[in-house]
Amino acid sequence: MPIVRGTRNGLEFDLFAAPLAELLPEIREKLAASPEFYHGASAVFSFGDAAPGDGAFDQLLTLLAEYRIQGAGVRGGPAIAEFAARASLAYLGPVAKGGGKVHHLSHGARSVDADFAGARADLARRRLRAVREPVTEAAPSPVRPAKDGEPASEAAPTRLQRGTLRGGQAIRQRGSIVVLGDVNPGAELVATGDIVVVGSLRGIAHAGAQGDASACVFALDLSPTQLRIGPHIAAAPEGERRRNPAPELARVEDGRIVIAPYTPPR
Amino acid sequence: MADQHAAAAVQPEHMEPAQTQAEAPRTTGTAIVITSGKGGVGKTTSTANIGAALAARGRSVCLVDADVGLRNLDVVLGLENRVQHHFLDVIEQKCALEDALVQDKRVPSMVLLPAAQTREKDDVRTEDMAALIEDLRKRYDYVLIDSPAGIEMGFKNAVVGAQRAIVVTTPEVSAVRDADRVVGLLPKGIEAQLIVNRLRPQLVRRGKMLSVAQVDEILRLPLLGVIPDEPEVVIATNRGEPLSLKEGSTTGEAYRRAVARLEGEPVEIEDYSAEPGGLLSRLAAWIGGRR
Repeated sequence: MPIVRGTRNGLEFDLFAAPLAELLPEIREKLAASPEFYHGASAVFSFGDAAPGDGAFDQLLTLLAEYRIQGAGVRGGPAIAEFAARASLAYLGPVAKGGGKVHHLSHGARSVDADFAGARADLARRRLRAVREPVTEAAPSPVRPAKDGEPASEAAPTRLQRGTLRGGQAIRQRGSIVVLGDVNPGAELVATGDIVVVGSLRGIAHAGAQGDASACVFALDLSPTQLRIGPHIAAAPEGERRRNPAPELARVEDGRIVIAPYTPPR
Repeated sequence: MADQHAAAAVQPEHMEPAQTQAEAPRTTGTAIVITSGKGGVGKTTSTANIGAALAARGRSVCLVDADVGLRNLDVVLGLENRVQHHFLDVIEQKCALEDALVQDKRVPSMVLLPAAQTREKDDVRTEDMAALIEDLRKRYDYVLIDSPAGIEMGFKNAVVGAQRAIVVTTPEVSAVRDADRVVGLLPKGIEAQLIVNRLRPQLVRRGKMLSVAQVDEILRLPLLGVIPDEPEVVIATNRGEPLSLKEGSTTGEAYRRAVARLEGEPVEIEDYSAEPGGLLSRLAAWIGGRR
């Protein structure tokens, strides 16, 4: 169970598993693992029913200050509301549904460990081994042919790249990117929308580059060096090659990047 | 540009047949750049061997050493002591093109245009290089340009006059990455083919070296040749003798086959993945491969 999670709005500290004093060493360790990543982040703390001891909480704030992380608010029961007032932090209500428990992932997700935003994580562990229920997609808006003289959609234009992107080549697009070909190691795709690669994705892909965690990345062979969706990041396992790649879709679920075999929406 | 093409396309119709006969302008040769991005993968050795094999097939060949400041194609060909001028002298009109060309001592239809050793790559202007290659194409069937490592000015100058490219890589991840980068930097319209150099079949079979298939997975280029890693290459390079002229040399044979493919002959690609031993060693390789 992760203690620290990265979300679009900042860091979430889940502190109900044990008294705060006991959790501090683990938090310290996690922050030390990638110190620069957290600079300037804000943090929300979720507690159980019992307020933490002031001493331990002060220690936590001091630790976070070292990493330039600012406390923004707290969640928890009525005792926590009082505690928030004392600590002059915003009280954000009780812990949200699902908080404090292992996140339930649909369609048989296998171990999806902490998405300690920015931490090096293992794509393979995010890969779902089996699909028990199909991923339900929101119905896409119907595509209509453009009328004569009508400019392509200005809101989120999609860029079509025909042919393979080789190392050192990059596409940055406000909107989505479709590549008909491979994206080789060293190539980079950055889109504020979705990324679709009809080929092998072996370079770096960043979908939802302006923070949209609802963006997704699809590839016939999804083996990126690094995958980013909105604020989330995942890195490829080292020295592992998959034998029989199948089309897969990466998206963010419950604050983590999850990769599932692609099943067409019905 | 479009007008030029149109004119060129229309021209033959207006030409008198007799005139075409009388002028008999030789068909322009093909300029091929040999490049790799990464250094030390065998560009120069490949240039020498491909050139020699082409000349041995009766083609007229000019090798251009575009590695200004670090020339060594002359050394690999054993022609170092015959070099008098270099291509910068030609560009700067300090000597005639004919004076700078060094004829090979084994295959007379091959000449070398050496690089300047005492100059720098930035001394060469791209348009001058393009004009020089254009000029050489009128005189030779093949103009092979040995590109320097890197992707800077020297590479750009090496590529500018070429119609085709031979990308040399070794079965190493770093070499393949650089080759991929270089292919991405080739100007549009250049047709690229691949040479996988220094393959060690035994290592590939044990899964310790990238296989040709794994290289192809990234580069996706038509395969011109696979050159096995043999000690004879080092010896021949130091002696200044291209192996493609030597009968009974494995490497030389691999280059000769590559050159046959270069000229469009349907020569099969060597299969180094096949196990030469009996059933037992094949089984061992199979188990090793599954690990």
